[in-house]
Amino acid sequence: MGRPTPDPLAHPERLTQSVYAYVAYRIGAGPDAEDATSEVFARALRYRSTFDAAKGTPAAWLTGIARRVLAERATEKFAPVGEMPDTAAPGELEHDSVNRVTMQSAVATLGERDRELVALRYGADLTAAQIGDLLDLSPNAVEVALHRALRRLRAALEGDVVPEPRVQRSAMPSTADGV
Amino acid sequence: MDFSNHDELGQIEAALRSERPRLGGDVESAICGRVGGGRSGGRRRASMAVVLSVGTLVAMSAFGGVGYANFGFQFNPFPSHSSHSPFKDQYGKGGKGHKKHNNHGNKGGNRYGNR
Repeated sequence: MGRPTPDPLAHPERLTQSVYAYVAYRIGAGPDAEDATSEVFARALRYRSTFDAAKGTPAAWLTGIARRVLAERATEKFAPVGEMPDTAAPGELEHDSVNRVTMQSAVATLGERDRELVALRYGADLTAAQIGDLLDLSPNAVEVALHRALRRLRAALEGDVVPEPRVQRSAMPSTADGV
Repeated sequence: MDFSNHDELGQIEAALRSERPRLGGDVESAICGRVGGGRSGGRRRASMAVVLSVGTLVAMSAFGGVGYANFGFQFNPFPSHSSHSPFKDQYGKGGKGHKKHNNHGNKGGNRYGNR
């Protein structure tokens, strides 16, 4: 008899924030990101029994579902990200909120690949090895790509525009995770 | 934000983590409630199965249980004295191996004339 499979959604509070942060770094914070996050958990509930702890953590599993959801939505209705909607925090804009919007705006100026890497690392809080599994890259390649993405992000924050090398859509890592 | 220090990439990393977008409390609780509801739905089904199983066992034990029913079928403690069977009704006492049974037409003896 095998070990019982752990419930990947046993602690949803932390996971919802990780998934939302990933989605928001990818497509911008707001109602669309909330809808996508909700959809991710709806699918996770449906496919809960297919979770295999040997293949990764619940966070990585959910991030794979989120990538799939975003890829499907991108082909359906999402406009290319680049113009981030002005999302004001409820109440008055405090310093922290301004910083957050500034950081998100800077992330939104990055190219698709850089944004994906930043979202996976700092939104979903995945390790380089986990990101490598998702993108079919070695952990070292992930670290190097992340370093470059951070340099471009710094340039964006300082007001300089450093264009990301154009990446063909077909050259982007596949988002088909089978979920 | 000023990231002109030597460790500015480290500062950007820290800022990306600390200032990452956060889900609103109402949306978060809605999603968590749905996830928790899905889990309790599974538990509800399991507890319903347990209740039905226990109910079936209680009902069976109230009537003596399966073993008792089987025993009663095999060893009837109150046999009826007027036991009728279609065979006895047609051929009287005795069964298939009754000694007086003769289906060859000759009175006594067998077909070879032996008594």
